[in-house]
Amino acid sequence: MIIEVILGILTGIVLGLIPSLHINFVSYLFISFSIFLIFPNHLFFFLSLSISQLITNYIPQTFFSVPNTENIMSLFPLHRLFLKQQAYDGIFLCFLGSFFGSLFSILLFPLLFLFFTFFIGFNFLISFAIIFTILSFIFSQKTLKEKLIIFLIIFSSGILGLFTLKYNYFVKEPLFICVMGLFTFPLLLKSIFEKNSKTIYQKTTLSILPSLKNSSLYSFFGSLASLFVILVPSFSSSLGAVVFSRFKEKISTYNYLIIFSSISISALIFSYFLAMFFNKPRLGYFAILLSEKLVLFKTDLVLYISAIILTVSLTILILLSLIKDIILFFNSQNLNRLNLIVLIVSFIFIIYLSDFKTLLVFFLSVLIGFLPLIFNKSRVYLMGYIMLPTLLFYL
Amino acid sequence: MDESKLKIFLIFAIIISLLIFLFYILFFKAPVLDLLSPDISLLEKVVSVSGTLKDFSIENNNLFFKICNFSSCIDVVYFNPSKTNVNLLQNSFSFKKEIKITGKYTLYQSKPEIILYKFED
Repeated sequence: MIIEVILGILTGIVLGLIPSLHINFVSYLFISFSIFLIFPNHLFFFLSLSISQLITNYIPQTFFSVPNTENIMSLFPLHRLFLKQQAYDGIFLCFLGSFFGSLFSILLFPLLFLFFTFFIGFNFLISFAIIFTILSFIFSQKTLKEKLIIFLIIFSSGILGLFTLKYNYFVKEPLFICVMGLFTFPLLLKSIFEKNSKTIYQKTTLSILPSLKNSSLYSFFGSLASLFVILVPSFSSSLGAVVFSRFKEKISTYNYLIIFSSISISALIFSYFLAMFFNKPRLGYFAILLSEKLVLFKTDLVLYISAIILTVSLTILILLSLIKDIILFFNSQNLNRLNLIVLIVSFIFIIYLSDFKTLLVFFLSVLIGFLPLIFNKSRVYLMGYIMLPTLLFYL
Repeated sequence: MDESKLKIFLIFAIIISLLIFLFYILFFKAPVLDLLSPDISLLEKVVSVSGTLKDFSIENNNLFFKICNFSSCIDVVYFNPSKTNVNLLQNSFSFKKEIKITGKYTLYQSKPEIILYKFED
């Protein structure tokens, strides 16, 4: 079993370094090529793979601004630190959040069990939370014009979500395609075609030293937030990010990153836990695993916990020894050229998953993804893509 | 909190998790299910059963067989076994060797069955 965990960690690190490669797509490929059959305890292999992929993915996220559905919200502060030559700080804070977040999420298992037992079926609370978040997005704007712009972004991305997630009859892998279109491609295209873009040399030493108290406190907040948001199907860490983005002004970028990385890792760990105890996965790729009847046994909880701790710790330890070389590598490269390669590779993934109709949806999502960039607004509002379909599902 | 301090935490966590693995492997023993008088309270738990194999078949890459103690048998299903494991079980079936299996004792269409987790000859 330890061998499966270690192999999962190494595979996760390699896959996590590839920008725009989402874990759903990885599991899709694994099943297509029957790679799961190689590992008798493949659930542990996949558990460690998904955790290490999530942690490693902060690196390409920082350098290429490429998010995935689990960590869309952490992208913005990471990119901000990148522009200030503090990519290493950003990644280090995400490692801290992931480490402490994973430990706190394990401690919160009993509470999650009680929460899920109690709140299962209280759908109006989910609807209320989503309506409240959407309204707060719109009415937090100062002028009527700004309110209308935010409404336009939420509404257009929400309609796209409705037709691809709720009433989807024609699009293959809609979440992957639309997330790429809404979040990844517009920013990559913008950075490629910006004339004044130049290499931003990143420091290889830490500019900030967060205290142990601070790191653990904000990680705990992240795990706690994740405990609430995991109850909302299809949202996972993204909803936590949306809710916390409302308080963004009140907390520093550094603490914001610790919270978000903690939310992301906790949501992933909680998702596996819910699949074990309630057969209710909260993340897409688990549906694939469950359909293959590869659910963990409840008595394996001890093994599950130790696999999580081992995976998180070993992944971060390996990445810490590599990170400076990775930064030096990026410093020596023309980032625009790398962005172009990422764009082409991402487009190849999309072509692999698409047909003509799906491509049309992809181009439409790219157009909608440009709206926040044109109006100089946060791309958080594009989360309407997931929020609106989920709201209608529960109303 | 700098990098070296985090590394100390990480190494400590790795040692703890490896120790948990070790203790689990050494001390966890699944309760034994007696096929002659099955204990209903063990339903939905991981149990170990010893016996010989019957009605061995593979369908859609899943292995189905019965494990028996004299005439008392229980259905067993093994999802996506590796080729090596199929060969080992096939061998036990052909030579009527007694094996010990560990798996989840559950009900499928109101009939008791075991979802195989691991086995030992």
